[in-house]
Amino acid sequence: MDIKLSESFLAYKNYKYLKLSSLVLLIAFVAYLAHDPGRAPNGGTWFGYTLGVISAGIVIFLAWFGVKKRQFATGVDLLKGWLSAHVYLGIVVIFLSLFHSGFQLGLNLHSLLWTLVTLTVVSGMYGVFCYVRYPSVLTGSRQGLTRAEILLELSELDLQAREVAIGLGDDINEVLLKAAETTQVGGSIGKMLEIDPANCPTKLALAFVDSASVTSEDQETALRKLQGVLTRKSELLRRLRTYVRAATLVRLWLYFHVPLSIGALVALVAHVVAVFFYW
Amino acid sequence: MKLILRTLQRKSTGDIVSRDTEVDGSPIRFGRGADAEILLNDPRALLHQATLLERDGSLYIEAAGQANVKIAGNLVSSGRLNIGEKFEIGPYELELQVAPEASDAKYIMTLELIHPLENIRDTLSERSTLSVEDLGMRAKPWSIAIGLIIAVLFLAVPLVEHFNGEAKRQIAEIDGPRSVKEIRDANVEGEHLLPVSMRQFWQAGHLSSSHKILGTDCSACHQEPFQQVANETCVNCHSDAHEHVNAEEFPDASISDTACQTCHKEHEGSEALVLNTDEFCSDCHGNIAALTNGKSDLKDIVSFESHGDYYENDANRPKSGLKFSHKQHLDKEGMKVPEGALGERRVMNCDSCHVADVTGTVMAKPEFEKVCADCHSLAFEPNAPDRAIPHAEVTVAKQYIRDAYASIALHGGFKPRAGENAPSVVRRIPGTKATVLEKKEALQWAESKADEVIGGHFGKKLCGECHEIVEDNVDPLNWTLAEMPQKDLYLQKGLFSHAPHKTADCAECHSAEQSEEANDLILPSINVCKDCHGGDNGSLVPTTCTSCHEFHKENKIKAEVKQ
Repeated sequence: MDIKLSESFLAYKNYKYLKLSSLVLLIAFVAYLAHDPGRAPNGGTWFGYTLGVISAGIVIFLAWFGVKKRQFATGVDLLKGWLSAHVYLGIVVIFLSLFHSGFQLGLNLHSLLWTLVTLTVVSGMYGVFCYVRYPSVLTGSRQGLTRAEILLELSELDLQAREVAIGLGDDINEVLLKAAETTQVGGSIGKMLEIDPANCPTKLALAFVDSASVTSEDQETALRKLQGVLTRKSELLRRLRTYVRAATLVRLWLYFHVPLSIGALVALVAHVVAVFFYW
Repeated sequence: MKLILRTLQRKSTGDIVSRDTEVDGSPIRFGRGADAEILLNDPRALLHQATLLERDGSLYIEAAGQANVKIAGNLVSSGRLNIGEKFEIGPYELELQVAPEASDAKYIMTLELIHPLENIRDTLSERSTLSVEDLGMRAKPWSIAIGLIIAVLFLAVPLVEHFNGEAKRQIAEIDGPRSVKEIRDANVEGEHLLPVSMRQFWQAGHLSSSHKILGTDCSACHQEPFQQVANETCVNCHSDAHEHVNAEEFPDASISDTACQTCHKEHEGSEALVLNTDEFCSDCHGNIAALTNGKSDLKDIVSFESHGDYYENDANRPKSGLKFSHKQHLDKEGMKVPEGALGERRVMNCDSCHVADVTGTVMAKPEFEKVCADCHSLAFEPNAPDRAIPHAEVTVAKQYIRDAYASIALHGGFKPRAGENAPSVVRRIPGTKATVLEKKEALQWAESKADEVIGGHFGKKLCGECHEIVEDNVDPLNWTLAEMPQKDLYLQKGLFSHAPHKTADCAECHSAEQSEEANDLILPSINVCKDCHGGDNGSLVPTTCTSCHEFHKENKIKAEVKQ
């Protein structure tokens, strides 16, 4: 996603959709307070049906964004508008559906639908947070280097370390070898979110080298060099991991958002069928 | 020991480049260290990995420390080297050969790095995952899975349960609708595909308490898909729904063409089955005169607050038909007890006479024998103190008096009081015989005595102590009593129960202590009700039309409920 887009979709056309959504919510709220069905408010009154139809329409509109953003024909500016509306209407629909049901929640399909919609919206709100928060981390952490360049430099540092250490003790070489062969960035979701994993082999190697003792002056020089190389490698790893963490967070919420939204859509169909099947 | 070290390097094209160097030493050491005769320039090699020794014309290799060498596929700490046999030290493969005779060295030792270190950058890239996509994670399978789970659990399974249940219901109802008990029993057997009925999760709200027994047998009511529950289905059990009005007189207000659901909303919790708002009634009753073109004599009403006072019009008040007042009986000093000790007085309360029936709904009619007879004796003849006029219909009472005197006269032994006359046959010793003529005379006396009593002090006046007497202008003996209220309920159109009002004092509603009117039944005005009861939105006890009035009135004709 383009960074400019992520920064400005909330304020799209001077908060057009925020204003529109707030207005819809306000009208619905006032109408909810004013409406007296003569029994507990629920989805089966004319007011309930009206809000239900509106809410269902909004949910379908929200889901349609998933189609829209995959269409190449959609221009960036248009998509920005869609996203802006997507975000604000998502928040609105949580409340509209509560007015629709008269705040009745229970252990049933209908409340499952509300829960799925709400979880989808909440995951989406986290996504919005990520889009606002992480683009700067994504660029800042790499300090102008591409990921490939960082990987290349990490490998070169490993080779340097190997050359420097060739005359040093077997134990140091063993640790270095392990660091070169087993250090990884990411590997699983958990590891991708870690910036400074405690068991990073490179970090352990640096600690080992720091505490190593040598006998000759040549070895002392080699050890210093080795420390320098490993420190640089650790720093680069940290940067790459900071980047990976941000990149993961920016993407990860979608793995909740999209399945939850599909679940909500299916539950919406089941909800409508159930309600009218047993009218 | 001299040998030629032939270092082999395999190119990517498959060609082998070799480089020979002469090595001299005794022994010859292999290792990464600078002091090794044969340098193994690989971080996986030890500083000192192995030593080559010559003993008895043979060459031996010995691994240093904990290290190993691999000879003939076996890891060993030392071993003899045969010509042409390959062996491994660390990642290197070596082979001992005999040197050509021209050379001053005895052997040629080939050395090849057969397990090169992997390309670090490629393996780092392979090990690392820099984006979620690198993990092979895709949202699509998750989306399909969650969508399928919901579709199966909450759509497909309930639908199958519906059609199973409906098929079973139709078989069970071949001979007519099931009873509630049969539905309940079928419900226990269940139609579940899963451990629980999934149809129950279609319910947006709980069943009302009266329908809870139907449980998860949705087919008991929901029979046609996508159609509201039919009235016939309701009538299967509720066969006695009555019209709200006389449908012939007010056809517009007949419920025949109305769906039961219009007013009876199910699945809205335990007590909400009956619509209970003022608007429900005031839709018509707010403008009832105009809606019926004046045919209805009811007044327009929109809420309890505007409910008129029926008893404001004195003609509507039921009359007691009695003479005494409540005030008189509720004298704080008490009332004199006629046959009690001198000065004995009895203090009476409301419940001395009025006791609620078993249900607590209405006050039972006070019975004379239970509450009045103690003080109000119906004895009428000093000569027969045990005889009392039965507290019954006037004709029965009068007949009793006649029968009593006939019996006394025929029996004899009557003792006339001062100023009273009686023939000798009536006064004779009881049990002695009388002639036919004498008996005739006795019965004549009895008849005239009965007339005297019925029309006099111990007849008309005795009854008249409490009851209003209705005189007959033609026959003075043909007096009767004023009619008394026959109905148990004074409020015929509204339901009132004393039971929930038990916490209040009787006097809070019935001003008995001030009631001096003999005819006053002290039924409270509706304004007394309004002290505590208000419409459905006020701060008082919320009271809507259906709090007191029934909709399906049983005194109206039974509804012919149609779909």
